[in-house]
Amino acid sequence: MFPSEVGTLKAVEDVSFVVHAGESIGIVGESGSGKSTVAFALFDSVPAPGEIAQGEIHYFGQSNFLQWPESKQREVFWQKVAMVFQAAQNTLNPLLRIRQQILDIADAHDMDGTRILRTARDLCTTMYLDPDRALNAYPHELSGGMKQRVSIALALLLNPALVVLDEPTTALDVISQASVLRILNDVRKSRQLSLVFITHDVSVVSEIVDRVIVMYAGRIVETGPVRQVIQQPKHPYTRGLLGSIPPLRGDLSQTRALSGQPANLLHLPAGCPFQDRCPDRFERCTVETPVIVKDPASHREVACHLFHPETEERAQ
Amino acid sequence: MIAVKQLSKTFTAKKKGGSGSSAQTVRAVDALDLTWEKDEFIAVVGESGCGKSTLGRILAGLIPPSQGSIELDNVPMSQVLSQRGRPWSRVVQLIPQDPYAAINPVRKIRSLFRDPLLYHHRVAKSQVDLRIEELLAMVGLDPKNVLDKYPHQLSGGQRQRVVVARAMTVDPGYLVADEAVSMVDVSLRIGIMDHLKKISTERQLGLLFITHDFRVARYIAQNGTIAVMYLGRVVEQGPSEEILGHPMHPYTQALLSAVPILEGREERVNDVVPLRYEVSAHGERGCAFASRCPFADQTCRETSPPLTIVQAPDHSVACHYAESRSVVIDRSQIS
Repeated sequence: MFPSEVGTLKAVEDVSFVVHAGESIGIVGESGSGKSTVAFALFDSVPAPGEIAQGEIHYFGQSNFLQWPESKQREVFWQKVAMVFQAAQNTLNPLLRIRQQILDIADAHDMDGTRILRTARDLCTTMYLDPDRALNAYPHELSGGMKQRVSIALALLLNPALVVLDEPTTALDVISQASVLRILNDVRKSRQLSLVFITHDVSVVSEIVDRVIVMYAGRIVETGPVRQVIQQPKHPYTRGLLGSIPPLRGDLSQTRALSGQPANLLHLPAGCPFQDRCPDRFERCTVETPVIVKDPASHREVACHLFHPETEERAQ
Repeated sequence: MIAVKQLSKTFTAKKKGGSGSSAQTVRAVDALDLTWEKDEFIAVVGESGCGKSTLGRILAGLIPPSQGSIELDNVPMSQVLSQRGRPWSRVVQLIPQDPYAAINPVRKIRSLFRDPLLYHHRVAKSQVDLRIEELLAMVGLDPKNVLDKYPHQLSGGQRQRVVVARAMTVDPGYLVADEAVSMVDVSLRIGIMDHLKKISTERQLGLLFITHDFRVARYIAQNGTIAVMYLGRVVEQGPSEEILGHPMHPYTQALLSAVPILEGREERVNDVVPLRYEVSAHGERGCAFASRCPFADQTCRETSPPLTIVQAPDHSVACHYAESRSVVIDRSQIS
């Protein structure tokens, strides 16, 4: 929750998900959907004046992480769970060579500098970076794509089991983006890494995640295996979002803008938050907020009054 | 028609360092030729650093070219004011990329429109408000909701629309849109592009849309032209469906195969991966893309290929091996 002058803003409400070992999930939503807030919450570092009002986070079957003392939380960061921030290229210290920043990390975690540098060199090679050049460079000497790959290498430095990436390719060119996605996919497979990949661009997510979570106005509106969701979106928002992406080939005439403005979190209507933009709205949507319903057969969950798992099954 | 001939723009950066100061020259636009018909939609596609924004700024008259010429219906840019009686700013208007930086944050939207309208004598003073309302309605904004607001009170999508409407205050004949939707949410992009296309079609404006995104390029230049730029040059140009369905330059092929696809809805085609991910500057000789091109040979490193028409009527490519390397994408195989 973010208190503000015009009332308290609920950036995220009732969001629950599980990431299994080696699994990669994508969180997709437009600006203001709460996706970055979820990322910050995973590290108990929602920017002030925001606060986590409710909820629990359990890492690796342990107790609620949010209630741990800070010193204990710190032990988890980077060693178990790491984050690559939005515009990660700007998170590098501009005044220090990459090598020094790596040694600082070693220092902070009481680790042997020489050994960590060796790991870093290996990681650079995995990231298609020349280790000598990358480690001895100041951030400004590297291109955007290289910096982004350096920040991903830093996140992997202490061999975490889970990496959270917030819009890691948004600031990159297509070719750099393709390279980062390819590398992430390789690394994920070779290290059995779990990924949480946060982005506004569904097409980016479709190449790298197993399962996708679509968020709207701070809530989960649809989840499911990524291919299924893209092929047959069930929630009107997911449908609209996918329909607003112009295809590279074939029919363009079906491409349509999602009507209306993104939801204003300070003035959410009663009922479904998507109702103002929804082409399928009916009476119930204006009074009752749809809860997320799970279809056990397809492992899909949808928060829409029009979603009925039983009939879906029959229809298929 | 706007004709660009042998246009070059070089920027000089002073290099400070141990061995005295030596100047480093960057060729952002390199001997570029382009014809832009009065009602033609052109999408210029390229990565950052390819010179596409520099080209846009030169076309809009914001920076002078280092070499080469720009003509409007055979009148050189510098004489358009004296011969045609309109300043260049009324010939070409630029829609800048960042709607957050492009609007003065301390002035209300109303005054943003008033000044250019009055300065360029587009309307009588008494008609100003009416005209502003028309302009805002044109981009799908409700004037009542935005006129008396400050930019920070608007959403990103609204700001982008305001910027589009502002470009129309002076009734330009041509519009240059520099990544005009890249800062806007995916779901709202189509809406803004639709308005831009509608305005340009209705008024028969030339629209040059600069983007790094082939999907956006295709949507804008549906029946128009796509020009792919690399290191200051156009490496491939032609009708948009022809370029997308039949890319001939290895760079175009690499760019196209790097576009993330919707797994399950679209199929990936022929992967062309450049040798290096980073753009590297090229020397005086040879093809600019040679150092990254997976197919380059000695000829490529020695002679620079000119942009030539390879496929009639107007698909031109700057590659020595355009025809032998061309890939036909079979539409029937794509679901």
